[in-house]
Amino acid sequence: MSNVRPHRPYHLLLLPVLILGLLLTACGEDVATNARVGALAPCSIDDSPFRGQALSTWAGTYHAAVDRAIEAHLHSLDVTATQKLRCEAPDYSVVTRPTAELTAIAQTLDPWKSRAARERLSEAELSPVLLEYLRTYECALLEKRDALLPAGTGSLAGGPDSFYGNEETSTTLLAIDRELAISRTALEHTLLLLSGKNLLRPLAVELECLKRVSLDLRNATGLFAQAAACMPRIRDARGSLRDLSVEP
Amino acid sequence: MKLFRLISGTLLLSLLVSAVPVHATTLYQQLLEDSQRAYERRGVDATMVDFMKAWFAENPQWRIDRLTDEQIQQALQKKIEVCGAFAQESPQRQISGCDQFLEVAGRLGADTLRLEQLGSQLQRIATSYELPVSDLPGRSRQISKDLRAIIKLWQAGTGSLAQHLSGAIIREVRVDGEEWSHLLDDVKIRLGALPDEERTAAVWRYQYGVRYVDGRRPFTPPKRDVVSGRNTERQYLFERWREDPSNIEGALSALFDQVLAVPIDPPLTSTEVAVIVFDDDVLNAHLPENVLVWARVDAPQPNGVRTFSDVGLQWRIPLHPSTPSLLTSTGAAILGGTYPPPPTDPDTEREIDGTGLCSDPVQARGYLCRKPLRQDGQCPVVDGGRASEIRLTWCAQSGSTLRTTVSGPDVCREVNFREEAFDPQRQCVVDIQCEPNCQVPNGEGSTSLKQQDGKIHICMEEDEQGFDGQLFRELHYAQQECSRPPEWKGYLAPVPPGANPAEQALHEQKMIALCCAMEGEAARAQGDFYASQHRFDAFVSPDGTPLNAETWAESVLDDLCGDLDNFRGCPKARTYSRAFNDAVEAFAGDERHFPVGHCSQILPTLTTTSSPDFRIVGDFLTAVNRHSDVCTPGTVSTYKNRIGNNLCFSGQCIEDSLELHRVLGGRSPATVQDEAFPFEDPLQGKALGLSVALPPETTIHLPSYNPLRVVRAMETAMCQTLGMPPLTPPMLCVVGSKRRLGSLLPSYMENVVNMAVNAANEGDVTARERVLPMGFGWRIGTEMYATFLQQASKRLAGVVRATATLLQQFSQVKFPSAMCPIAPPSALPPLAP
Repeated sequence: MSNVRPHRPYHLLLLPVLILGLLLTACGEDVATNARVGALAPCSIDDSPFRGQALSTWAGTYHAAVDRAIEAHLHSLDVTATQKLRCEAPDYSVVTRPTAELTAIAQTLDPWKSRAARERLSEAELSPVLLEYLRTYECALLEKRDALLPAGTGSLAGGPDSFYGNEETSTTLLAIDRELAISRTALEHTLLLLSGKNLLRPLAVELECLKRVSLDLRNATGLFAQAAACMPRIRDARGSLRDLSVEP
Repeated sequence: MKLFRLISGTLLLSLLVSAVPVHATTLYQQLLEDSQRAYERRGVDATMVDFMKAWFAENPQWRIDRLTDEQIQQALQKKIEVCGAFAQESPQRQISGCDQFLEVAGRLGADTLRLEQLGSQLQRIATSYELPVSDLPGRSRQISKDLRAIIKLWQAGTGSLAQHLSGAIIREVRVDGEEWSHLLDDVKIRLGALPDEERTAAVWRYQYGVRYVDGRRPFTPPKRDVVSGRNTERQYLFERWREDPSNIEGALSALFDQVLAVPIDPPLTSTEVAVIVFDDDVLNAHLPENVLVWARVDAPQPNGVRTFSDVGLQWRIPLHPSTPSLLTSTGAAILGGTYPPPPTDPDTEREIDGTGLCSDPVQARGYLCRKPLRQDGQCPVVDGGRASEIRLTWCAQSGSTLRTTVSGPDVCREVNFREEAFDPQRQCVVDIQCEPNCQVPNGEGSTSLKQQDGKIHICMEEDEQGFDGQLFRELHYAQQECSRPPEWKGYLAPVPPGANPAEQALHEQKMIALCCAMEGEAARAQGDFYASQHRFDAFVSPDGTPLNAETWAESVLDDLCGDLDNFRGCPKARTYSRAFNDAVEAFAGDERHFPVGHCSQILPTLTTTSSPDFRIVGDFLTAVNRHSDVCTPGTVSTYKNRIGNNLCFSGQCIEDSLELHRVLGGRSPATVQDEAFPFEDPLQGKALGLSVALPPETTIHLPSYNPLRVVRAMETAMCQTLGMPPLTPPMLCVVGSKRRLGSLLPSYMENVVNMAVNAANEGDVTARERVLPMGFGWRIGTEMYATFLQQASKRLAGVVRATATLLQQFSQVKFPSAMCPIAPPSALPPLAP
């Protein structure tokens, strides 16, 4: 069993990557965007938001961040009445500005680390961000798990007691297995529940805009009605003909 | 060291676990806790263990009844540790049979677990769609609130009509305070007395209200069917909890009594429903997690029944359905597998479903629940539908509900948008009666003075010659009186007491002018009416004077305001010869030109007839009767500030102007042509922004749902996935496992490999087939949604555009800087002696 990761000659890859990066930058391409829509990058603890943190804090950090992002997302759906909406905007980009909680997660993940990518981030990308966050979390857990397991052992099928009698490691591995089992299920179930609401989000925004337009229109028709009250007399003034005398 | 590791490991586990709060509150926390529970029990819970024990004990093939709970759990997880105990069950049993035991146990457990998981998954999918559009307090209600707000902003009317299509009027009444706490606690205690399975079922059972379940509302809840009795898999779907300690109905009924005592100010009208909104903190503190109580109340109907008043339970976020029961009350296993008949109404024997859904005042307005649209036939069915279509709504006949008046479309004909009561000082009700003899001179109809209650009686002879024109004329008298105070006598007003001779002369002059105006207007209207029907064409003039609406009116005036009434006559009417007046009188008495109408036959259909002759009379009657003097000077109209009401007011002002307002003495706007209207004054240029905009058709129907088309599209797509042409008959679109044999490859090995690939292709197609229907469903749903939105938004845009046009035109009106002088009565030309 070894915790040492194999050393690879990364510096040999540096030059072509640099050249490619320069070329893409010169062509105006956005590497981050392509990375976001293309294949996901390989992950490791070092690239994850959990780098430098104790394993005991990972679950707390992860679940609390996801919980906050989802609550903020739900809140943003429910309070359209107090949002600064640009109802005349040609698309929904303005009304889907990401919440601070979602941005806080996204900026720790590779596809959204660049400023340009973060500026394009939308609240509609809640699912990709959270799933990427989950993938990073799982990667980190798996890497930690692999580091703890002896070579060639895939799981703790025999239970903690059969594992060299090392209770600490066994308990840790059990906790990691448990996290791996519940985190994805919980997030997928949550995103499924949110999907209906997300589908209706444009409708909710349109309804809010329609409500505001209706309020304006109500005021305009109110003024129109006020003016219309004078209709018969306006006509009298407008033409050369007159009504019967009001007095008998 | 070992102890240290043990402690630190345990601490780490506890830290990981402690990341999740014990009492879940947020959505994610609830679902995380669910996942944790499922992980901890690995899909096996106590109910499933009891079911397995019962099943293996009862099944004659096994008769295993001595296994412990732990051993059953091991069997469910196919652990061979249980085989020792299995072999000891009886002397005949051997350990070699354990593999079959484990297989059966594992399969039973997996099937049960799959059913539970599938149910939960379907529930979550349904919840994801339904939750955002829920109407219950305690859930997210942004969309439903916005929808109601928009309806309210656009709505016309006070809601005082029994039938209106604008939507239910919902009022929210917030309650808080400790008087609700003990009642909610009682509900919590009753629910807590039930096992998990029953508790879940109970919340679903009372989701539409306890009074609904009890049949105390005018909705028929489905009754327990013959295969869903107690101790069956669906036993809790029809269960009622009415006995202690789980007397949920008692607790909810007590809550309902308290709801009825909530003061509601102002009191509810017959079309209003008050939704009771409990304080969220109170609900959280006094109810089980994820459960909420809802309540609403409406005013009782005349027969004492409250249609929508109820109290019920509901999930804050529905996560789990009521799964089939596994155990009877005595602990025996329920095998299940029975299918219930469709629910039927015991009275009508018709299949019923969704009555609970339609018992909600908002949902009752949805297209699935709108019985009037289906039954009353007011909207004719649009024909031409194909047999393969399923029409969700079909009332879309264009123009079928459009009301018109003499000046075009009628706004707010059936909408009572004003809040003030009927005022007999300013308004009237015209009452037309058919009598054999009206006891009036010359056998003509007569119009009474306006009475104190605002009624104006018009008596028409049963067999009246020239009935239509005569009634039209009488209606003009009624219209002249309508906005005047009761007992207004017009030109028959007596001389004021104590008047000196000069004042008497002035009074007489005024009365003559008024007589000429009033009678002239009515006679001119009658003449116009006859002229429009070409009834004057056959007149032979004795002196060359043509008979038209003008000469008819002036000739009639000769009698009415002439010497007969001690007046000196109207100036112009005196110019006609006696021969002409006699010829007109004789012509008017000729039944060939003015046939007899039968009052009692014509009157009932006057406002609905399609005959243009009678239609104009009927429309004018409606116009007079509409109490729409909203624009009479000095009138104060009050109504709720809504777009619909504002447009009703404006529209009625325009209609009043076009229909009733006397812009020219002696001219009835009901009959004169456009040229007579002052806003068409050529000297002043454009009309006064009153091009009465025809509102766009607002009837919207949902697009047809066409399942056959979906299936065909799916079959075509399947063919295409196999590389077949799009129009290939579906039965040919199969992956032939012998396909490779038809075009052999050079080597045997390649052929074998390709045969294997063929099988994989078939597997791929099967997998795609599973995904395809969902994809098509999405596509069809999106298409329907887009079609509907396209229609709806067009209509709405049309209304807004018409409104904008009217507003714009109003802003562009330019008034003349100088008015024509208005001559006082004293300045009238001198009368002939």
